[in-house]
Amino acid sequence: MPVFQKVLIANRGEIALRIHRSLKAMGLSTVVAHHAVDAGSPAVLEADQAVELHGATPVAAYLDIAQIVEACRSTGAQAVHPGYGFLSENADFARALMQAGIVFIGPRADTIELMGDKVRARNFVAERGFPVAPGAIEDKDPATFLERARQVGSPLLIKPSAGGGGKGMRIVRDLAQLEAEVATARREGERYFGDGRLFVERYVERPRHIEVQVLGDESGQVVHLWERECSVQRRFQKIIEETPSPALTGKQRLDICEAAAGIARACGYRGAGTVEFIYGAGGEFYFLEMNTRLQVEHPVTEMVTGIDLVREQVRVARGEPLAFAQSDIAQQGHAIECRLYAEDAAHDFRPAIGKVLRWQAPAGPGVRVDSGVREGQAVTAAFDPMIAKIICHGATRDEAIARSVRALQDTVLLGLTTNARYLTRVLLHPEFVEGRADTGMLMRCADELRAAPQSEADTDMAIVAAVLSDRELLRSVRSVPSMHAAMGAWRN
Amino acid sequence: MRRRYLIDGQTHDVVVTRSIHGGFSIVRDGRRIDARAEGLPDGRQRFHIDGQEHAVWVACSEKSVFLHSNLSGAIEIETVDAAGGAGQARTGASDTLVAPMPGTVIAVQVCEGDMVNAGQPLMVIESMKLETTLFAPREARIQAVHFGVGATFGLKAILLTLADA
Repeated sequence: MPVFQKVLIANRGEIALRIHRSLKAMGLSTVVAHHAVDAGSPAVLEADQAVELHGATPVAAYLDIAQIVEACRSTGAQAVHPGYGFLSENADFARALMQAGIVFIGPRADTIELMGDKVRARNFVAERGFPVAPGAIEDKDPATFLERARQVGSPLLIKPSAGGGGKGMRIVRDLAQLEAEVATARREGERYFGDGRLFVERYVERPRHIEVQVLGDESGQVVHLWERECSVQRRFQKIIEETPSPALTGKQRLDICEAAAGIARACGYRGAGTVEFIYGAGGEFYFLEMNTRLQVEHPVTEMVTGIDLVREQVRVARGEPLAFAQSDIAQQGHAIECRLYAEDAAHDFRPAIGKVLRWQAPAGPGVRVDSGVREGQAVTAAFDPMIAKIICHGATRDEAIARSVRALQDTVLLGLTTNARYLTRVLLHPEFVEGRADTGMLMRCADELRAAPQSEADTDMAIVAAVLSDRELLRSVRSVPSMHAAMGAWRN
Repeated sequence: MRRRYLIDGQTHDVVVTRSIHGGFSIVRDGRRIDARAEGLPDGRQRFHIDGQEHAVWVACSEKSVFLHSNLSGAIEIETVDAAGGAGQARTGASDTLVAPMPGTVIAVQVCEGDMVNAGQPLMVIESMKLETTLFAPREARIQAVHFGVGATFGLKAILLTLADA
């Protein structure tokens, strides 16, 4: 049974801090490996130990396997938690750690590899009788790929085999454009993933994104921790996630969760993972992919189940059996996560950069905030611009929505443009309130989600703030007695 | 004393004078506002505007003032030079290609000194996982390429400078 006392966190920002907290609660020591640009971040400041990584760019430092293995050696860390992104789904990283005698807190390298190749994963799942969307895979016979793709029929979705995160995905509604779109998707796949292989799938209209949290131990026990719905997306990226999904009936929920647990069981899954499905308006669902790591949106699951997923990951990595059976895991109440991004929703969600001048997280019953910023910290284009996750729990979905709206209003983040107000408008939009949001909602409702023009009262307040903050202006106004002031004094 | 502010895409000209009660009179767009403020122990400010009270957070950077109120969220106010322009150097719009968003340079298809035709791809940039190709707005000579492959840049950074062909 692997024993470890000191864990190196190979990540940054909110997730590094969140992992640190669970590790400390378990009595473990923490090391945060970081690039110099993050030296002043809360995770680095709070960790028991910090070790600097070097790289041509900050991102390159966090992707440098050899340096991270060396950082474990130099600090005496016996295990690594990779968080999400960066090296979390890199089989070579898991192997390099294993060879160095360091525990990788995650699944086996071969599981990462299987699920990392979208085509292999799809075949694996289909062969075991789980639902996948009708499609065609280029690798099977490249010469007939276009023809087979055409036979799947429109609308079609072209995806890179090595892909993820929506990169290189293209929807084709007119089959006359299939060839051109395939060529473009191939170029993007080559550039992003160094792999131009493609596959196509039937595109599900008004698709909803529903995923299931699973957890497996070394002995092959697998449970699910119910679903999360993540249909509110911009640019194929989730911005609001919730559990339970308002789309599912009790029977559908059991079916989809059991399918996920079955897939995890089939691949001997160890640790925490997520099986993603696309869910159609008719109640049909298809396997999309499996993420072999902790997800950004894992806190909503923690809020309704009361289970600390990082703690369970560590327990499984130590070789301990799961501490609970399927029947012990209940969904209590409703939880919603809103991702606070430094971005300008009014301008195509372009990232905003700047310095955090004032940051005050919301609080109150049922409110959890996972963030990794502090006042004075610069937010640059070097990383993903997510600043914080605001997670609210309520007894009902309506209560969770109301608490989320309130929490977003109470979130003070000055110095950067954020999507806080935009998130509020989404939460209050009838499609979301009625539980009808699909992955096209934000595009379809773009006009309704635009900010109303600023009120005169707000403009007054803004002008007052600018005037009263302008020392030079105030000094010169004060030095010249105004006519009104002079006359007023004289009358008295 | 005059100031010009840019708020929510709108320009506002204001004239500020001292008012009787230790506050200020601000004339904006033909209306007068009386305002004063006091600091609160938690770091907020209490604004008194025409008899109404608002507890707000205010923070300043070099070029902007930021305000947060619970009812209205965050508002950014930029002070604009009377001469026009929000503090940045103005070059002829067609002589520079400006970053539409912060990001990273993925590819540069031209070299300094190259002659390019209108519509010719010049540079590919990536931001938020999306690629954008920048095209030549007109026939021109590439005078300068300001960022190389892999470099990151901020919003409105000048990526390329063009000269007449």
